[in-house]
Amino acid sequence: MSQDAIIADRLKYHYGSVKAVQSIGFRVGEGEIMGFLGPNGAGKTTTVKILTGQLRPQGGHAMLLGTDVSKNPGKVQARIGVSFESTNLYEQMSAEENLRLFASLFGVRRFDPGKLLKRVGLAGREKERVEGYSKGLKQRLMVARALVNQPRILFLDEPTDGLDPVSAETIRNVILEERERGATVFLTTHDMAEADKLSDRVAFINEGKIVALDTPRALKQHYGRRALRAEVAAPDGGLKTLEITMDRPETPGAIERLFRQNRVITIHSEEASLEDIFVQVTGRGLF
Amino acid sequence: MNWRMICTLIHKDVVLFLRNRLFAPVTVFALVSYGTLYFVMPDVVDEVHEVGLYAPVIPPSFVKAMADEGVVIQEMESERALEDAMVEGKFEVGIVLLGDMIHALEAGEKGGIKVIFGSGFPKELQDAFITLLQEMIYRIKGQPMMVEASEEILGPDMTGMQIPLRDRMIPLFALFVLMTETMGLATLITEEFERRTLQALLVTPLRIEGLMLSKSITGVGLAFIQVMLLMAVIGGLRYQPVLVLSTLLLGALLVTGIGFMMASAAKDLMSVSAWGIFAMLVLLIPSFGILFPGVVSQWVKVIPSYYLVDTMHQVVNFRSGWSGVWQNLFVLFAFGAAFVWIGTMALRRRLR
Repeated sequence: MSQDAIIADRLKYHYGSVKAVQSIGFRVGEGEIMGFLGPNGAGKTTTVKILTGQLRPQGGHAMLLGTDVSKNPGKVQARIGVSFESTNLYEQMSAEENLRLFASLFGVRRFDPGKLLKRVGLAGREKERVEGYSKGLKQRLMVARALVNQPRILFLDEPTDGLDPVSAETIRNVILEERERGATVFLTTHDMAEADKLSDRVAFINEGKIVALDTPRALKQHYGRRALRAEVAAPDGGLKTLEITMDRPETPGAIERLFRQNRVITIHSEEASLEDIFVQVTGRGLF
Repeated sequence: MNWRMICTLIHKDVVLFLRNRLFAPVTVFALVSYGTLYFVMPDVVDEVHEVGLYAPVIPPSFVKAMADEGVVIQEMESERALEDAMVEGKFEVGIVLLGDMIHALEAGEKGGIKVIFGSGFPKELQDAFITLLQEMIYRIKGQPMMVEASEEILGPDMTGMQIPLRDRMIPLFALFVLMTETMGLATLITEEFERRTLQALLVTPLRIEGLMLSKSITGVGLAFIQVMLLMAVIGGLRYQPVLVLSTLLLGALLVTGIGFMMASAAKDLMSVSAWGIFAMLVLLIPSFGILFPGVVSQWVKVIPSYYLVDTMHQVVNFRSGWSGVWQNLFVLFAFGAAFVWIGTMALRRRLR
């Protein structure tokens, strides 16, 4: 992570009286995967639209790869790839034709669609019209389309939402491969577990503002509460659940007493999830 | 402007148009139907008109002169019988010669002639008929008939070379094909909005200007090529082909602008159809004036398609040249450019 691939500086955008984005600022390093998390209507899509040059910010500015997006959107868009949340492929065309179309718009010479389609698991179906594809296959093709120009920044909006496990795993692997290649990935998602697994850092956005931004580990350490949860035999023959909070001076004694005074049936460590932290930070859930 | 991108988009749009399950078959069907209809319709005009006549004394020279002009006289016993026959629909025109008209004329007196027209007989043709009668009398006696009649010039003298209905329909066919393609173009654009594929295009180095230019070229090209094919088949390019093609190109420009406006307002295929039918109805009105002379008046000139169909009619049916229609072409170009500009602005607004 040498220099910043994305710099968002006090971005602001209002739809009439609705403040979609309110002075958002962050930086994403090259080769980093940034998870952008928030509920519907939090301002995620508007932020992505500003970063990808689809909207001009009403305040602040966005720099991608050293170029101001508002001033030179064409230059920026030539070096980014975008996969949208809802499918927007040319369904009367084949997968190969879709990719060739966008490769031509990006001016990619000697483009080989087969290689890219193989990467996303669509080898053998390249000649079929997209209208016959399942949702998972279409989503894979959307990701493949975002890669035709070997982008230096990849924007993925809910890339695995509602997909079968195989398609979701295929896309996750592509994201990790892209990071290996050196691309920056800006991942917008509802899926906290996925963001936790893939992201180097995550940003929580709520009501148009970033309310937390750090690595998943640091967020858990900062906001989370670790605990041990044990099921022990109850005097009436049933089970009783006991919880011991970790990282306190009295914790070792509490654990010792647990085992001395009870017959422990099961015991698990519990760690705060990103979702727990989001609820804690924003006071609301993701949905 | 990056022409590689524009060519890519044009290719994409043509492929999508040809694969469109509605408009591709409709286009082929329309071209075949209009072509077939043209050739099925008669290519001659029935120039014989039956006219009822009552006169106490019927001058033979009058009957002969009328027959020479393709007017067959059917003698009636009385003026009343003539009127009854007309009410029954046997004739659309009846002539009553009052007294001995010819002798009256010879004596320098004012001769009486009464012409009765059916209620549906066009005003312009009424005047033409009166003119014809005056001509007859003049030919017979060498002096004008002393009856009051308003004169109106209806255009070139087409006696003996009347225009068959199918040729009158050539401008209508052209407009139909152009409008069908317009609806196809509007549907293509609306689908791109609906499926958000335009959003995907606009996060590439493609700019809105390039996108709009490619759509304009596609729209004009598709409409022009198809109407040109139809005209070539039905003989619309026999006279002044360059002039006809120029007119059609300007017509394609006009309907492309209309297509853009429809696409900027429509949400889906249904709304494209609704807007399309409305636009088609309005644009077709000037064609009715060609098919049925006299049914529309001068106000029709406010409809832009007037300058397309009138030019086509003048060139194809009256063999007019550039000098005769340049004003029409200029107005058509102005309307076309204005409509494309307004349509482009409306689409840009929706895109943003």
